[in-house]
Amino acid sequence: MPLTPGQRRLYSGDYNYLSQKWQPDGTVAVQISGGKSGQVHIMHVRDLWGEHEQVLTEVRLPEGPSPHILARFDEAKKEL
Amino acid sequence: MGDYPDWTRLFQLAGTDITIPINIEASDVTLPVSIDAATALVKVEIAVVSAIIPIRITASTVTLDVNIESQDANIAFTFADQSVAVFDAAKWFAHEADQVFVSGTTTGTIGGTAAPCTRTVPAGKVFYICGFSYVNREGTVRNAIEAYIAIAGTTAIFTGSSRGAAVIIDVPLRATAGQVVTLTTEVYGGAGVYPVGGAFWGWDEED
Repeated sequence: MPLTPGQRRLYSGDYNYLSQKWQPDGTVAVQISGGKSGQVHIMHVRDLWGEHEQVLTEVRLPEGPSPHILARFDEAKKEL
Repeated sequence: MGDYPDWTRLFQLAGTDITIPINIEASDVTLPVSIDAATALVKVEIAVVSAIIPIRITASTVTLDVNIESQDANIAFTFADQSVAVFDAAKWFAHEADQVFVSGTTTGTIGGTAAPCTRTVPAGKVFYICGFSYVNREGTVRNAIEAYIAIAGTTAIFTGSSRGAAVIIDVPLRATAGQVVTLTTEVYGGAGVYPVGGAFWGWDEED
């Protein structure tokens, strides 16, 4: 089975932060961020690192600050 | 010391422009400076408008080894240049955006092991681990919590406390591509389950 974009980052090392929330059923919610891509991937994985690793769901969050933060950045740069 | 006569040669040069070129062309060059004395003062003092002191080392491998053995050592690096900085390894690799923080949470059974976070070292990387932390997140205070870092199934560092702690590793652990790094905890005292969190961190280098 081909790797998902999030798995590619896990195994290529394209991340700085790896967060895990292990669930009672043995699956794990994984979030990775940073790295060269700067993207954030949230995955629900079964058998993480195991032979039968399977990504149940995967979401890529929008990159960079939220639009309302960017708007404040622009306003902060303006001279009073 | 051997019974040699004293030897002194004074170089005193006075001139408007003084140039002392030393050009050596040879297949092998050795320029040893060896001082065997009770006291030694090797002083290089340059007071000029502009000083250029290029040190260029071109080699396949370079080892710049400075060994100082002294009861008192005072080593001062003073940089008045905004583009110069000295980093230790951890800070340098964070500067290069190669830092890695792995954190996680899980639930464990009292008396059994739990692994809040794990990492398989990515392809082509060497993972240097310079710290880890752990905490029992439940309201009940237990007797103790143990925590250890294992690399490829082998325990490297073992510690424990009543509730949690953070440990800085002054000699970084080294894990190679494909090895699984695991933070494991175990809680003692009472029965039931406990929520636990933890992390380990360091940096990746190309293998």
